[in-house]
Amino acid sequence: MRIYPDTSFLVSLLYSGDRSHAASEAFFVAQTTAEWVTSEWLLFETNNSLRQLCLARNGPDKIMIEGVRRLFKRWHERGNFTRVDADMADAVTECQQLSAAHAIALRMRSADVLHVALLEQINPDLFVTRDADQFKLASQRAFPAQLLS
Amino acid sequence: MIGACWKRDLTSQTSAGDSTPARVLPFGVLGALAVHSNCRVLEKHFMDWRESARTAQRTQCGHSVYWVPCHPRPTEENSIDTPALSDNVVSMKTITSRELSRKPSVISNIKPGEAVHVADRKGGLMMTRAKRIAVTPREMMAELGKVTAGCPPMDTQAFLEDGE
Repeated sequence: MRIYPDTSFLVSLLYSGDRSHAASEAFFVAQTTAEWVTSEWLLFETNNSLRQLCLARNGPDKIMIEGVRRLFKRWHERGNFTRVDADMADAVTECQQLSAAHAIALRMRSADVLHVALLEQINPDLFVTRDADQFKLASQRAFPAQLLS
Repeated sequence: MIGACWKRDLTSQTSAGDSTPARVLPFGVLGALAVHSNCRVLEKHFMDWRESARTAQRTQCGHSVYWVPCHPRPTEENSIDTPALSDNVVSMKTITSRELSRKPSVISNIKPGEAVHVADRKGGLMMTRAKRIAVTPREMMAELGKVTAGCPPMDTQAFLEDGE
């Protein structure tokens, strides 16, 4: 099974201090044979979000976050994460179509829409998110999706 | 040297429908396999080639590269996406044989799961380094636990959405 996670799930998984880390970890460990697919956009947003955590009051140490980033990168070489190439121009076109179809009815942050647009190209068996808005949008597009709280 | 291997290999390749395994070339890349995704005949023989790859790895200290012909030229429509290969191929870049001669590191530095398509008029050749999943999800989480030990608790989603 190919699973495409979004940034909210990955940050929760990679930052063990997150209040939902246990749920994300349990889901991740349960998928023993799954292939976790990532995109260039997902990697950027995840790494950027992890670094942003350092801005929080009593946030994590930046050296630790850099260690997490490097570990995540290593998992792409020896773990079950696989980066796939996606055509960003096509994805932006898909974003515009998604916006035209759903933006007046659903909450759609621009960066999040891009993940759902990428699903069209990556075509995973499951989309995993912690973001209810992304879950609704992906479900509207008939992608199999799972919302972890 | 790599350029020479490439030239020799170009002339020795069989047609897309031939089941003859590709030649083994000592490029110093671990267990690499070359495949053409959308050709059903090659797909049928993929498992045989994978078996021969294991043999070659044992006999040549794990330094083997397999090339196969690629007909027709890969496009967006027939790019690699077969279930048998999806865990092996992460991304593909296309270069010319001239670029390969100038910059052989494109192939010698290929990472697990990456594929390089060397194009020519007949479609070219493709190679990839097999991705090996060396750690289980549980082991990955154990690795993460070592890195993030003692990190402060926080609600990451709330922080990232609202800026705290």
